[in-house]
Amino acid sequence: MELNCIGEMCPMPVIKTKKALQEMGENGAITVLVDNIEAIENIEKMVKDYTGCTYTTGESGENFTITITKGSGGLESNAKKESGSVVIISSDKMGKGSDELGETLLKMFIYSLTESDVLPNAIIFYNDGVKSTTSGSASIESLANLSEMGVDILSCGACLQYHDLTKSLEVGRVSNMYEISEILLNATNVITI
Amino acid sequence: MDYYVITFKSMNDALKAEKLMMGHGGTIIPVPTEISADCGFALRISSLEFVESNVFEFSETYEVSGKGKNKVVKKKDY
Repeated sequence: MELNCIGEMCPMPVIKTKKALQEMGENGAITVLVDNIEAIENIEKMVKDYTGCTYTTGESGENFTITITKGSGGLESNAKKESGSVVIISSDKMGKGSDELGETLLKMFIYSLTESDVLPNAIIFYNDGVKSTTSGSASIESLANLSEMGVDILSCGACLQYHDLTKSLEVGRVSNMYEISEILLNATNVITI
Repeated sequence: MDYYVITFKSMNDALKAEKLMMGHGGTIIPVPTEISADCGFALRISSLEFVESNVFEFSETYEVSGKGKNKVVKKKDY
């Protein structure tokens, strides 16, 4: 079975692949064709969360492929871990009003997390928030420190693409709305900046 | 000692100092609660070279080591 997701924006390839896997019989296989490596990474993440699935990745011209074989165990999600606190940053500024003050406040907020005894499990950046995780951001050092301390730093892949910042990501990893919504639903505490 | 924290008379002085020190490893941080409970801006910097040559106006200099509960802040006397 083949699934063509050329030209589709994140998270559509992940959602379509998941749906196809759910509808497929035991030991079935599916090859997904996408035009960007982020989609492959996101599908890999999704597959790893399910038991009994194996996969191989490849390239086909300028496109990428991932072939997934569904195990006999079916699509049972691996035990979900509690997500604890999750911080959401959706802007390159903190609060409304002065831009200069807002940018400084956000930078200080991210810095203050590095000095805290209590850490969030994840920090999610979307929309203009991705300006904090990409080149030219004044928060790269703080975020790299947080990442080293075990905080998952996620940037929305579609947002990076929209702002043409995919190649400029300096810290953390690319995520998709599918994973972001799952993290939010599993979080015990969501802090929106 | 891990780094220095410089405090300022005004937020504007802090922002000005940060602009000057950005290329020299200076970054603006919230004033550590060990120094003041007020909400304010301070400059975190690893060397006092530019500070002591009075490139910008500031109030006090503190030496900081450790972090979180183990943070130690000491005022530098001149």
